[in-house]
Amino acid sequence: MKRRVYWISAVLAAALVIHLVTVFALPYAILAYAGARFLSSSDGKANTIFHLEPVTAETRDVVMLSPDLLYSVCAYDVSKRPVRIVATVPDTYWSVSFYASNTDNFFVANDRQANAAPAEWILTSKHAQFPGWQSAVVIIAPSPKGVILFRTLVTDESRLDELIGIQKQASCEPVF
Amino acid sequence: MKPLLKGLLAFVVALILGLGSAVAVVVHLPKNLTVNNGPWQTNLAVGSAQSGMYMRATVALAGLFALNKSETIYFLARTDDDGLPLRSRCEYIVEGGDLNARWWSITLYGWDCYLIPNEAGRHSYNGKNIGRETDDRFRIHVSSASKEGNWLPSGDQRRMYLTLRLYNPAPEVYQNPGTVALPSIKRVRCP
Repeated sequence: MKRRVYWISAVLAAALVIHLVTVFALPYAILAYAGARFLSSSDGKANTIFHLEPVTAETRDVVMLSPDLLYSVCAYDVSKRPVRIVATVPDTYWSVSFYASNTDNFFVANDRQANAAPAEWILTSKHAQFPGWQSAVVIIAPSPKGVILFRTLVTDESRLDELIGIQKQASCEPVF
Repeated sequence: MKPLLKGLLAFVVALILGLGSAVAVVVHLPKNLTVNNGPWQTNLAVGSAQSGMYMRATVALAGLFALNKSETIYFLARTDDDGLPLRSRCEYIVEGGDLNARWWSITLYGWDCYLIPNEAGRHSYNGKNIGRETDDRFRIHVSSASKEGNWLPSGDQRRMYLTLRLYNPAPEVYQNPGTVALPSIKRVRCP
């Protein structure tokens, strides 16, 4: 009887550990997978911007994409060098959002908050001074790797080419 | 039974229990979406560092790259007003007034969380492109058969989801997500 209780307790304890580890690790695994897909679209290079085609039913990059938005993506890696993000902000809803390796959205700025033209951010792993880029907003990344996502709203199909042109002016490059 | 075999069997059982329960909890979305407003559900911790472990896993699986509440609030409907699951063979009318946000959109997704293929290439309506009635309210037909006016084709999916995005919502939306006025989802017919 004692032996049976021992085995049942051991199985339940192991199941609990597996359950918790699976739930905890899932966001990391999904973001790493999405990042790897984007990296394959940008010749395997981190810190390189990649512009998605306008979203259709054939788009399978990420679930629940909005067909009203244009998306650009940069899989970042600030473990060795910071990354500088520059974007021309259009006169429509636009945002740049930063995601940590656990999928948390740790920073977002939209077109109304990005005052400079072009708008500029530096993503880094630690506090540092960037004297060459005083106008840039410095952001500390909670994880060395993650994803930056740019969104541009298209409410008028006749402006699609113009907004794609503005979307493609954004860049994401290592500093130094 | 030899101890080694017993141990292996115990591990396999633990693995099935651990993985199965993790998948069941993460996939079972409504349990993790804690605010209900008619057929719509949301959780204000979506996308933020305040997300719990389960919420974060659920969102990673079904809504990767969600924004935090100050930027966007996402409401998800898996059922109609009567609590019945949304099915593509049924016909629905989504009806409401303008929503209190800088801009909003309603998008139809299939069971796999991707857009539903259709010849019209129509997947969503937003505050700018939606047709309004004389009373300034909007009505969207959701059906597999073509309809006049605002129409979201539902194709031949078994199950489907409607997502309501409120970009830069007014503070009252995230202060009262459970009571703010949201569109109704009425089932017209279901053969």
